[in-house]
Amino acid sequence: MRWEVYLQRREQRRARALSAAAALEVGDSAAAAALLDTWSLDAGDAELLVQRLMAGSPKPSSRQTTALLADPALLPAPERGQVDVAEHLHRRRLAAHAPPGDHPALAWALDELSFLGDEVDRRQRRAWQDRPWRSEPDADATAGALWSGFFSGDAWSAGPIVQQHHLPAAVGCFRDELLTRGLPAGVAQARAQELEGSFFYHLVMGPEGGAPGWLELAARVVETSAEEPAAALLSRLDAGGQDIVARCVAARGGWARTAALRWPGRRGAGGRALVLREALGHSGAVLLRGLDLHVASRLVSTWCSGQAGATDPDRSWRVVAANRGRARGRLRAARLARGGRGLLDQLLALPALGARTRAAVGWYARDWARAEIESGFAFNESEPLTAPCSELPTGLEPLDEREVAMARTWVVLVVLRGHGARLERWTRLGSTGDRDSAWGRLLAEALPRDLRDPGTAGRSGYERLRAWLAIGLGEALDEQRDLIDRIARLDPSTRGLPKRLATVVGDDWHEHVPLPRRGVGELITTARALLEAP
Amino acid sequence: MNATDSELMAFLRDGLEPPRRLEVEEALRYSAPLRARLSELSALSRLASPSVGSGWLLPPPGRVAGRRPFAVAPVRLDVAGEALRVGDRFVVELDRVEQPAATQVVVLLHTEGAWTVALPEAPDEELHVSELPGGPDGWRLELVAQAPIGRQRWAVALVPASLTVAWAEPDPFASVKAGIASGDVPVVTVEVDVVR
Repeated sequence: MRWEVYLQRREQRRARALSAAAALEVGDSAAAAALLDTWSLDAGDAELLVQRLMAGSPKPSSRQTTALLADPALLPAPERGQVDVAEHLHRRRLAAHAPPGDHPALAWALDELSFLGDEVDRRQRRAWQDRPWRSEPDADATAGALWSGFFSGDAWSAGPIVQQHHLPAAVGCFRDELLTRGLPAGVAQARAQELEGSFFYHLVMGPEGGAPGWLELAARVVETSAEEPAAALLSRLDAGGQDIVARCVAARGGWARTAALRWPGRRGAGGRALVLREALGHSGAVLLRGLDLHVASRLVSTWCSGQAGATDPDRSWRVVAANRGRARGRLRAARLARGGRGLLDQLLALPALGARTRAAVGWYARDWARAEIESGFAFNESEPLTAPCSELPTGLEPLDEREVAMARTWVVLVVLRGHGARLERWTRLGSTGDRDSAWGRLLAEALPRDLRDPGTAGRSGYERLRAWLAIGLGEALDEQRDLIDRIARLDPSTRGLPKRLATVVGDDWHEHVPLPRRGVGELITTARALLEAP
Repeated sequence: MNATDSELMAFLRDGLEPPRRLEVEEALRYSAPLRARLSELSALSRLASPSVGSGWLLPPPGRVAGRRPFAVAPVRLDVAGEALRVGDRFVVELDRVEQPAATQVVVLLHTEGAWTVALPEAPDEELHVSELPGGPDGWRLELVAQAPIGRQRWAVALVPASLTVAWAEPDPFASVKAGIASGDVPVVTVEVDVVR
């Protein structure tokens, strides 16, 4: 989008946002709610979001409000005005470089939320639809044979097709991934060959006791089939899968808050699960609209949190992508928990099955290799990439708000101590697989007693925490970003670090989690690396 | 918006899902430094030798793969509690092997980043499970720790009578490799630590 075109579009958005915000100030929310029609929402949901914005008071920086709301004459033009740049990049540049000004925060929030609704549609839905899939008769037939083999009950019969048609590209992907981590070419090639064998067995046999990789891969292929992956996964979700999804949405992490917002009249997670289960029986679209409400609601919460950088464009998009990604993963897990029922029919009905399968193998191979590399090539412990939907055993209740606050602080401690990868593995498997003593101390000494399951010990004693982490880990890190940022800003070369750490974290560090008195320098280094990661 | 090296490398291979691919494309149009980095990574990938598989699909250590997996006892060291040194013998015990008289043993050793066949290296070295010491309760395959020191990986494949090693062919073990991929040749990888 050229600068002049961007300015024209900006002017339209600006006029609508300023007018809607002014109307809101005198109690008329209709124009504000209409601005949110870029999201797919149920009737009344836009009004809910507007009310949350009003109550929460978003806090954009003065540059950010100038970027969207100031007179265009005040804006710095790009160095090369004719450069074709996506609209979100124009907005991002201006948010960083526009002069400070004084403009209504509410108008900024309405414009930003409206824009992000458009961006979800463009980047997260249309990007899938616009991807061309070309039919190739031979490749399509081979892919059909591959999937028929996998689903035949004799997964080995598909092994030779995997070896001949998919492993060479996977090895190239592994090698390139290793090259980006600074390994010499010869070493990268040798390690890629090691990954080749493990990937093959992960696909064909799966982790011991877990769903085979080919089932996850089948879901990834099916996810290319509709207007967006979540819709594809929902389209053949059977009654058992709908039940899993409904209970998960009603009880877990930030989704539970959105469900309570959406169905305030329903008491408790059980009641909300019932109403969602009933709606899913009619159409999966209710969940897609609920996902939009959830993502928009998370954006509003983030903007109103007062955290440093909470309204940065990149941060906002991370909130969008992370929440949509988590929802997609949970839907996939629900399909896998049902043994992939209906997946074969969906696969065999797909046009260009060869091209879709080839692409999905590439995505899956890269995700798998990154997980393996980050876990130090712990092949024996290979687990499904999609964490299973775990149900809490009877008698155990999900973490309450007080416990969630403790868990969030503990997560920060674990991650800043450099055990983020172990935490993810422990969440998925109940074990890190390496008997690391530092990890053991984090569990035994730093984890508040209230976060252990009542009346249990050992591995089974953390089911509630692990169930929360399965959904809440990413959210916890998102929400603690401000705290991590404050830690990252400490100067590790000065004296008295433990005391200064205590000062900067203040009351945001839960008192039941011991604040580190040693190794604060490493903590700061890890915090900085975490914030620099995209 | 940033893109990591990993994402840029995947972008070069058309290996990003459509949403992220679109974002990286847009970021590349916007950012000259990112385009420069993409060029560097492209050169890095091109300079590396063409990526090829090893031909041998071997499972992670300790896991027996195949349609009819046999059992492997933990590696037993016949060196009286001492650590294994170069030249020491150690034993891999094979259990629950079907038709041992018709099942050939192929042993591979991982050296210098690649798998090579250690047994048989010639037709007269072909060996069937029933020729190993022991019996149906456990056939004892004796191996000798090799240089260099460090963690050493061995693989044992059991080849059924329906497949043969074709010594006259350029790759005598092609059918064994294919049998591993189809699950007809069960295989296991074991690791031993060799010290100075």
